[in-house]
Amino acid sequence: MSSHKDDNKAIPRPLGFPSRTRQYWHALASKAWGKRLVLVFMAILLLALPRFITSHYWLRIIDIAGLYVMMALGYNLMFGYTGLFNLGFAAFFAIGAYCYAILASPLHEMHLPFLIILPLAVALTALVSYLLGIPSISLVGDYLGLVTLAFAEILRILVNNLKFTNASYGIINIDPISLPFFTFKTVRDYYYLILPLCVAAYFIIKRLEESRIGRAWLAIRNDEEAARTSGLDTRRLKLLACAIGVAPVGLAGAIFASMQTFVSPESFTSRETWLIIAMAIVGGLGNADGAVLGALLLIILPEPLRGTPIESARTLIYGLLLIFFSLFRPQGLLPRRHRAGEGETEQKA
Amino acid sequence: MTTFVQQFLNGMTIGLIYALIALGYSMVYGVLKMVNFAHGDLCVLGAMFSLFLLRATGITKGRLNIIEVPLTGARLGLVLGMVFLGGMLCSAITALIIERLVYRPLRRASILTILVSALGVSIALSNTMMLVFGRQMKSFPSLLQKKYFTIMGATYSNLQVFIAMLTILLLMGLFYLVNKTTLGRCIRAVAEDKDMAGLLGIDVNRVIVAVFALGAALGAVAGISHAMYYGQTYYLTGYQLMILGWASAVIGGIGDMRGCVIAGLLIGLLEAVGGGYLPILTQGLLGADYRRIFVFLVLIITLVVRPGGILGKPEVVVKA
Repeated sequence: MSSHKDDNKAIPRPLGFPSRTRQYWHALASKAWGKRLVLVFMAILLLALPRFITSHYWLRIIDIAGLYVMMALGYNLMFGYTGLFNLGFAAFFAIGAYCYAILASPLHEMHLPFLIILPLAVALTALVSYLLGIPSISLVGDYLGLVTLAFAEILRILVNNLKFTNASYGIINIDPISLPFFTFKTVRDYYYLILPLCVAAYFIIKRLEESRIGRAWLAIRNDEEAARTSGLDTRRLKLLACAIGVAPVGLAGAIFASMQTFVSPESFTSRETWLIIAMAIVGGLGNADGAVLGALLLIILPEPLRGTPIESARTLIYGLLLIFFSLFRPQGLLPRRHRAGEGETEQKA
Repeated sequence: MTTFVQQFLNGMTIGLIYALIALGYSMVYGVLKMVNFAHGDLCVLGAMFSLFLLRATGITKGRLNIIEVPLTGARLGLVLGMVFLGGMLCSAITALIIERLVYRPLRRASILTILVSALGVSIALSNTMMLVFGRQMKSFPSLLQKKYFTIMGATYSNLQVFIAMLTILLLMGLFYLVNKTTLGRCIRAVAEDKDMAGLLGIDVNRVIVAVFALGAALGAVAGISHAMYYGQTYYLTGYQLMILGWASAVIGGIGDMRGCVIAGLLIGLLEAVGGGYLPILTQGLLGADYRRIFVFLVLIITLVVRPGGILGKPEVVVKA
């Protein structure tokens, strides 16, 4: 319907002006160009951010927020888009982190270059999620949650006890990330590593969600039986979501390990999972922008509270946020926009 | 053989506690078709509150290392009654508040929203306990004067006997309540079909409230027994109890009470026997820490092979 209106507007030709100039002016003022301008402006702002924020402390927090943006994007894809309830997300974070820590630390005297470990960590995380999905993917919501929770517990017990992962002592002196021509040392270096990865993850996931596959995932979340009746291979699509959804988490884990130079089982408790779920819910399910917003809000907003008595109530606040949003705004701060032709049959989730 | 008998007895005791927790999950799932994540935390809340009562009345002194005042006869009965009834009351009231404030407004919401809210309740509850009662692990008095019996070379303490008797009594009472009384018939009717039960004149809200209170009270007994058995409580124990109780309920077939009891016992046995034999069989290569892995593997295998649990119906669980 809306395209008709635009056609009508375009018909009257301007008098007295060379038509081509007018066209360019139109193009510049049009919506697409406006969007592009905003993007360019945001890119410049993000690239120049370390110029304005010189404190290492805040840059570090922004780095961490970037890692959580990746994880929230992954969670959003799995839960918000496909409706797969994963309660063991911290386990996949741990897999990525331990993959890097084991392959690039003095523990086993292995120092592989980052460019080899990175795809390895991502692939391993995705593979584990895929393999876990094979037996459990046909279970409905809460049962899948229980399986992933049990999986996270198994992994936690293993990491806590195996000599291979140095048990509960953790792994220290993890190598910094080094490319053939550059070594990432300061938090500012890491900012320029995390930023492009975040942006890439954002655009890849956004494109995926708008693609045919994304629409299929959405159909599965809204009504799996109807999706299957329409000829979708729901099992394969859900397994795909399992694998793709945890890939950015593995990536974030690997970078986290090198940034901290230390990993221990303490960093990957269920608390991390709750935090990521809270980010996805607060931001808005089924919307990549929402995941980004949720991650940034929940990492950066509580920072000024550090050191005050409220700090110990942080996890409590995550819990209360989950309750509050379920009750009063289940679609989150930035709800998913309906696209043209999409019916109103979608459930609120 | 002695080791086996010993671990078998230990496993049965702890398994009965798990069965009690699993029944709480199962009953709430039966009437609301949702997993009450907060159930494990409600169990721990009972234990925490009864510890608070013990301290407030001066029966136990000291903060980290508890000095017990010896109790005998009628006084012991009175104190035990106070501990259990106080814990049960506290958990039941909290469960009612949660049901009224969170679960009831969401009853018609989508399943994903309900799950998220339940998760939020669990996180909020465990962290409130941390803020109110402290973040350290606390020792919990066993209250009974230790006595030991020897059965086929294995030792069995009077505390274990007490826990086993108490839980078996409660289980029998619960089975009687659900199968033989009017309230039980209402609970079964609501579990079968909520709307139909409402049409037939059953006050569905009251049944749900009763189930929540009952489940939480039983959970508090389980939580207190667990704390007495291990001699400690900790605000994060609720997370472990949640996984184990929920796993028992699922393995047994959620909504099936006999299945829950069997599965609870099975998990207790797996933990105890596995934990007892693993270091011996692998010559210390795998410690007792690995015992939970068996439980979770059994859970995953059960869900794959018999998704409805050992006694349950499969169609509720699997979509494909």
